[in-house]
This record gives sequence, C-alpha cells and structure tokens, in this order.
Amino acid sequence: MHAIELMDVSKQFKNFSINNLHLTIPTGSIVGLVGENGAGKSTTLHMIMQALKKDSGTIHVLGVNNEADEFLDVKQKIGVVLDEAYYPETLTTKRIRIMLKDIYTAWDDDVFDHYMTQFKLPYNQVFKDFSRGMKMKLQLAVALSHQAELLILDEATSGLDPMVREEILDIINEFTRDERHTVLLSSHIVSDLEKSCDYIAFLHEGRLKFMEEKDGLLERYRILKLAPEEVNALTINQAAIKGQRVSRYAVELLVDIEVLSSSETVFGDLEKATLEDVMILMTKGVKQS
Amino acid sequence: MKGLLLKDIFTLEKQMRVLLIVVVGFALIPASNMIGFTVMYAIIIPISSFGYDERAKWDRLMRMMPIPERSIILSKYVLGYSFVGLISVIMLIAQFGYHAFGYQDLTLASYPAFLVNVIFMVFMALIGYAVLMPFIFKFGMERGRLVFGAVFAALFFLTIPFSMIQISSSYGTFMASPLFVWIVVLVSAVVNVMSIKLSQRFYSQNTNS
Repeated sequence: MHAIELMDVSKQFKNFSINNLHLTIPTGSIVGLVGENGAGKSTTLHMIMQALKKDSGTIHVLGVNNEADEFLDVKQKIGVVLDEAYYPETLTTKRIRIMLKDIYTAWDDDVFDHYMTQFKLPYNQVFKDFSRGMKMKLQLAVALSHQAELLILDEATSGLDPMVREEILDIINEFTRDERHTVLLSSHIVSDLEKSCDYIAFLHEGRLKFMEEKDGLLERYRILKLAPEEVNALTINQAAIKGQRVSRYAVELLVDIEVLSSSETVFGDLEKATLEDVMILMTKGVKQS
Repeated sequence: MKGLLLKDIFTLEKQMRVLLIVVVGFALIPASNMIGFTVMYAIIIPISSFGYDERAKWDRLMRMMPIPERSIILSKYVLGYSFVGLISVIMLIAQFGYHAFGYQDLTLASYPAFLVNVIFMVFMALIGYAVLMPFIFKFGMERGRLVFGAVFAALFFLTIPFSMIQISSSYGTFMASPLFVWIVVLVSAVVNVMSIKLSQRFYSQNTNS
C-alpha cells in the first residue's frame, strides 16, 4: 500500500510549473525529496496537504483522495514540520498546546510533555525568543503528539547545527520503527537524506527525474574522471552517461553501471557517486555524443 | 474553531487590556456619538489579529492542519462579533450608570433612547466589519487596511447626523421605534451572511495561487 500517491499532477505558475508528476510513497518508508531551489519540492508537499490546489491529476493520501471531505480526517493523522515554525510570536508553548488540543482530536498531552522534556523546551517562554533549533524541535514535538501515521517535513533540518539535525533524524528513524508510519522529507542537506532515507525522489524543474531505493541508487552510479582531451576518444555506451560536470582540467561523467555492463569497453576504477554527485551531475546535463 | 479563537485571544491579550481601559474611558464621556466611536474602535482589535497572522505567516501552517476552511473564516467573524458584543455590554452598563447617577433625568421612557442608540451603533459596526472582511481575505491586511480606513471614516461621519437626530427628536420618533431597530438588524444580518460567503470564496481562491 502507498501512503501517498500522486498521479499525473500538474500545477502551472507564471514562471514555473509542475508537470505530470507521478510519485508514490510506500507505507513504512522514509522518502527523501531532493532537488535544487525552485524544483517544486515545497509546492508538491503543499499540494499533497491540499494547502495549494493542483490544476490537474489526483492525489491520494493514506488511501483517501485529498479533495474528498474525508481528507480532513486524514489530516488528523499527518504531522507536518515546515521550514519555519509559523506560530504567532507572542504565544508560549503552553498556549500553543492549549490551542492545538482543540484542533487535533487525538492530541496526547503526555507525548507532548515527553518531547518537551527530551528537547528541553520551555513552556512559558514566548515563541519569538526561541532559537531556530528550538522552533523546529517544537514543531516536531507537535507533529508527533497527535498519533500521526505520516510525517511530512519540508526543509526541517536546514539552518540547524549538526547536533540538532542528528537529534531530529534520530526521532524520525524512531518514528518509522512502526511499520505503519511513513515519512516524506524534503531537504537541501543531502547528507541527511543519505543517512536516513530508504528512497530518494529527485525533482528537477518540476519533473520527477527518478525515485529509487537509496542503496540501489548509490550502487548504480559511478563517477568517471577524464582529462578533457580523453573525452572524444572515449568509446562507451552513451546511454550509460547520465550527467556530466566539465571544468578546465577535468571532465566528470556520471555513469550508470547497469547500462555500462553492456558496453564492450572495460574501465578501471570508477569512483562511487554520492547522492550529491548524482544530483549535481544530473542537473548539469547529459553528455551529447 | 475553538482552537483558532483561543489562538487569537492569546495573541490579542495585551491589546484587549488596553482596549478595556479605553472603552471604560470613552463610556464615561457624556456624548452620544462616543458610543459609535467606541464600538467602531472595538472592531480594530479583531482586525489586527490578521496583522499578527500575516507577520507570523500563520496561514501557511494553518492550511496544513485539519481545519475546515469554513471554520477559518467563521472564527474571524465570531471573534469580531464577540468583541463588539463585549464592548456593547460595557457601553450599555456605562450608559445606564450615566443615566442612573443623575447626569440626565432618568425616566423609564429614556431607556429606549440610549438602548436604541447602542443597538444601532453595534449593528453599524457589524455591517462595517462585514464589509471589510472580504477585502482582508482577498488582499491581506496591508491593502485591506486602506479599505478599512475609508470604511471607518465613512461610518464615523455617518454616526454624527444620527446623534444629532437623537438629540433633536422625541422618543416616539422613527429612530427609537422597534421597526427601525429591526431594519438595522436585518440589514446587518444580510450583509454579514453575504460577507461570510464572499470571504469563503476569496479564501478558497487563494489556495489556488
């Protein structure tokens, strides 16, 4: 079963569009949504939550069409952590809890208190005096205090120090120990995604470039480094080249070794590609023969 | 909706304290058009809640929560009605005290006069609030504030001739008649229902962009 399913979703803005997006998030997994600024990650997350209406296509979340009236009940089961915590700045945590208790039917004070203690967050300090790390921790505490089955995090770890990021990632991993729990996480910090995700979905200019299991992805791609003058002499199955980065002294080719195995050319050492390599080289463009 | 109302009340707590002091001050001034001014002032507070929301970009978070659009809209109207209601009760008590303690002759016949005066102002305020709300839902607080200024000024000047009528007319005039009160109530109800529907439409349209 899929926790989230986007079929043929499109959304048109003045200078940007999401085009025929197909994306499925398997239940029980942590899926990282990556892409450069403006690739459509936040737009996609907002469309999933029906905070932004799509132009066409269908979106199902936890088995319910997000345009149906029942989607409000589904939203009760979704914990959201946005890139900023958008609570009015004069509120204290104590008051945020009182307010949210009325919004989330399954709100659990004990769980909230547990995370407040774990994160060492104050109850009576006004929100504007919180550091960014504290704000994000509060959002996470809220997201986990109403028996959510799905967590959606939009750039939740950006701007945080490594210790806080680690703490947040640990909680996310802990959350998915229950196999009914799913996490969809967008981030610029690719190392965070590499550390915790089961799947990686890569968005580029409003299109899904790929969605693959992280381990398989990292096994599949290699970096082939060449001197610029060696490129023309290269006899390689062109379909294996998925991206490239050219500098004055070297050319780096992103090579899909599954396709490469059909080529007759045998290469020596190919460097393992990181997720960041895959992203950067793919967006730089595919080598033209 | 209760959660949203609580959020607004918590956010506006400090302003509410100031408002209460100002209202009590205004209530003690023996001029009938001060009632209008005070009630109009009362609607500034709920409207300022939009400013706080915009500053915090609260809407982005709220749209992620399991809150029906209808509740989002209605909570702002209920907030406005509650403020106007609260201020009206204070004004009525103050006006009663003002009459009772001898600043003017207190007769049974004089009650309807100030009662009608307050009721009229309350419903005028509700009409003003209802006119403003769709603009704020459509354009946001910044541009909506400009519209608010214009509507507030217009309504304030409208209260002046009515207060003159109040002074010059006898108790049996149309102003003090139940029919007049019912007409104002009816107009206010119609304008508010239309306003809520329009606000819902504008809010829903904003989800598209």
